[in-house]
Amino acid sequence: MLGEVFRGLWVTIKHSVRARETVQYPEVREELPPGYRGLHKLLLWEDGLERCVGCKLCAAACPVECIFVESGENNPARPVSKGERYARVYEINELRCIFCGYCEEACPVGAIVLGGEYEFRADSRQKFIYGKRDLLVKRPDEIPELQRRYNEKKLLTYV
Amino acid sequence: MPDAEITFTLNRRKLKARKDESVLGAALRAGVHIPHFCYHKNLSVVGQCRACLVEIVDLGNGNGLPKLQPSCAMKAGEGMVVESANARVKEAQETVFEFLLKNHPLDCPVCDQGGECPLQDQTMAFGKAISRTHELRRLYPEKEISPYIKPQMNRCVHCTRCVRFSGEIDGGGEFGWAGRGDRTEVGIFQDLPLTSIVSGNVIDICPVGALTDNKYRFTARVWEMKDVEGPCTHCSVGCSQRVWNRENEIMRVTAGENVEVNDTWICDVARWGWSGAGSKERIDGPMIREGGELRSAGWDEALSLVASRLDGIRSESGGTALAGLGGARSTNEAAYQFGALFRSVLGTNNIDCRVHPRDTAQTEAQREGLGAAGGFGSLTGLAEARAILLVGSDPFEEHPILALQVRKAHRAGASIVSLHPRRIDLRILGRMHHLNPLPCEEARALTALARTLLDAGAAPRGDGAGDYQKALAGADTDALCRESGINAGGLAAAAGALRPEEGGVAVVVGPGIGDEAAAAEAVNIALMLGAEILFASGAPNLQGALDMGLHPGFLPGGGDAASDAARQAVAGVWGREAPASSCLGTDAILEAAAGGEIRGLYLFGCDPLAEHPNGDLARRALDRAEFVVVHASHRSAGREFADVVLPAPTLYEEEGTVTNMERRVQRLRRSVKPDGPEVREASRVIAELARLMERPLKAQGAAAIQAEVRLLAEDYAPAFGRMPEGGARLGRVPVGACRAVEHALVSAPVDGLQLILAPTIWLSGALIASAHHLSGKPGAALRLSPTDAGRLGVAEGMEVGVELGGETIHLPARVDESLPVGVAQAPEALPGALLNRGGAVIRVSPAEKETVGA
Repeated sequence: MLGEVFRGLWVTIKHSVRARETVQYPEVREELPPGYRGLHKLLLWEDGLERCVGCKLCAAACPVECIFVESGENNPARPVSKGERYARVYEINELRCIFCGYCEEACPVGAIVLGGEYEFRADSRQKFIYGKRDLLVKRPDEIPELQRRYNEKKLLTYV
Repeated sequence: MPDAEITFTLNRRKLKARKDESVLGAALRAGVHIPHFCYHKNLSVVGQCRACLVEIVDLGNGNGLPKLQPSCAMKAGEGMVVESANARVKEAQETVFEFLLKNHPLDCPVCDQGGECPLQDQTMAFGKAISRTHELRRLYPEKEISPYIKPQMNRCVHCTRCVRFSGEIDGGGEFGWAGRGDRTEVGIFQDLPLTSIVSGNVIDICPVGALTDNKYRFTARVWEMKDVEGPCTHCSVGCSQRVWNRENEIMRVTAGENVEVNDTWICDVARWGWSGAGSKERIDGPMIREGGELRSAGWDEALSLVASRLDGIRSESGGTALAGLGGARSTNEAAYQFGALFRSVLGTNNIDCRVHPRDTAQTEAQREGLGAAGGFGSLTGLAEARAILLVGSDPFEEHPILALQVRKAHRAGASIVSLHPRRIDLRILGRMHHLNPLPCEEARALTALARTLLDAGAAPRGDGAGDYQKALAGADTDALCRESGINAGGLAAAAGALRPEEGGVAVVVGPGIGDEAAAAEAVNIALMLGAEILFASGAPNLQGALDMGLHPGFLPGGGDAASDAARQAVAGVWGREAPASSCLGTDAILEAAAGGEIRGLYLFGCDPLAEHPNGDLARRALDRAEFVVVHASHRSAGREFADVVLPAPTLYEEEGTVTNMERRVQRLRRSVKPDGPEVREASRVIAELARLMERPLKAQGAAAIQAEVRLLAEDYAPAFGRMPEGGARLGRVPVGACRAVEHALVSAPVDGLQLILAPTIWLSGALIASAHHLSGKPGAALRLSPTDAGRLGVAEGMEVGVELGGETIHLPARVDESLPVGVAQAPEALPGALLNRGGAVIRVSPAEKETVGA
């Protein structure tokens, strides 16, 4: 009977001297694991062209159907992407997304990736539908580790 | 044919093959997939992609073949033992696929074929997972071949399906291949744009993304869409088509399969004509004329106005002051309700679905000669005929898939006789006889042909056969030839090709036959030859609308409106009396409306201003009529005379059945919901009108309508029961009788050019007219024979002034070798002055410089 009491106390004492897990967010932030699936990013090739060709495989793979793509035809004089096709519209409903990463797996050109961003907020549901303006990186080297990861991958070869 | 069946073994499984069937064909039918690219069941066998290699373990005689054989080119033999999945075959398949992919770009994410690509699918199933190619792939220069088809020849695997399609099926031979080995290039000769009206089929048969649909390009992916298979409703052939839609929007149309109608082909009008369904020309809500202007109105307001005005006219002047036109572009169900509304609710027989007088002339000839409206031939019978007589028909222009069936018969050895003012082009060599009568003289030419056939041993049939034979024997062939302008030698050759003693003849009567005498003589010839006869003219569902009783003299099911017994039968079903009053057809209705006797006109999916050749009469009729209802899907010229406009769905948006020219009833399934919330099903709108007139129609809804039709038109019963795949053809035994025809006076020689109007599927109806994807529509042009062009000093493309009844219009000229001297041709149904005056004499002169391009 008394033994039980001491055994319980022992657990309490043990935890009180253990290193703390709590982090003082937002002042302190934990380092994310390498495969963390946060907010989506659309990447660029090194020459600045969009990787996305608007093939809609991400939309097909998406289990919650939160991706909407509309393709268009490249103007050869001012191409948006490599090849004939590009994504004229690319939208993800981030509220509906379950961050499963299937879109990234399905993407044949390494265009859509799930990055490390997890702090995204807005004051209306409408604003959680991210378009190309929100998703596309500004420069090819904006998120170097993602870009590197995809440059190393053997991807679609054109022609 | 069980007697011709062969049993062979494939992968230790017993399979049955038809005589002369390939191993591949039999395997595919049995559900065993052997990979293939160049093989297509409706094209010839070339055996050049090598994907279908199989091992012949035993030829049926105990010996195998040492090397692998292409199963498409290997006929199945009795007792043959074949392996299509053993290690040896697998290795060969992997090699072939690697070889095919050596030069194929891996741009599947970009390619529109991705997701429905035989190369993609079969590589996944039979190929290797890795590519060993590091070299640059073969590149062809980019080319444009057609506004409809986007070529991307880098993806081509040289299966030559397109080359064989254009050479064998289409006949134009526009695709070809040049070069050798891996430099082989498939393309268009001399890089001319494609002109074929069935060119779009190469998109369907291309097993890779080398030829894709330019209008559908990048708009959707195959997995996003649903497809609805059903009959096409742009002409009366009724080909099977698949309408692909995404989120209630049609994205594209591809060919469906119906071996008895269209094999696997559809024409370009079917493939891209759907774009008219979403056009700005759609009527999107009811409208009422107020103070001279049409304004939007609610359904309740519009329908009660129509009901009260029509019912008011009926109670003031009787049902004979009302008339209904149209219905041949609707479903059978809507047509039946339309007829029931006029006959049982408004109490008039003034109802006609035949807007063009040639349809009236042909129907009357059918009724007199064959005992019912419609022919009794079949498209299969046509494709299997020994000889075909085309009367006033230019099938490639009017019914492209009918032309493919005629060509199919020709490939199988049939002789073709064409009786048409023009030398029509079926793209065939040999066994083709042209009889070119003068415009409007087809009847005399046909009598001459009948006389020649009589001499060759054909016997008239039916009640009046003796009289007819006597009348015919009295005919002077030489005089008839001279008067009609046909060549006597050609006539004898044509009669020889038809060989009355052998049978197996099919007759096609086209829209070129405008007078009853010619149509009746065509019927006589068909009866004398014991031939199948098809009437290839008129609106898409003309046959169905006639069967549903949209004819002043016919009740639903074909009963005579003048017979008491037939009227009582109908009255029993409707629960209300069928009228015995006047039976006016379209021309009489328009005359009566122009004369003020008909006060209320209901135009259901038709526009006499655009469709009737006497546009002046139509204009006067619509202008004079007190109350005009236009119930249509698209805006048209008749709208300016409408007092009420009711929107109707297109046939992409309707459920129901339609009947094609061979009386095949097919089920139409809704592909998309009507464009705009204000569009309601046509049959419901009509039923609602009857309800508002406080005499509701008994049948409400498709099932009830079909039940009523079954009672009245007994032969429709199999079509409404469990309809077989591909529709039910309602056979008919003709109770025909030959009867002598009277010819019109010989027309005096003309001073000037005689104008003929050519109907074309490109200009058939408001839906196609507003189809923005159809960029190949023929423009207004005047075609002249080279001799006339030379005489008048007119060159190809030059602007000419056409003087017609004191009025001059300017049109670009085309020089056309198929036209005889003294005849000029313009497309029918072009908006404008030429529309009304087929057979008229025109004067053509090169236009002055200032007007060029005006």
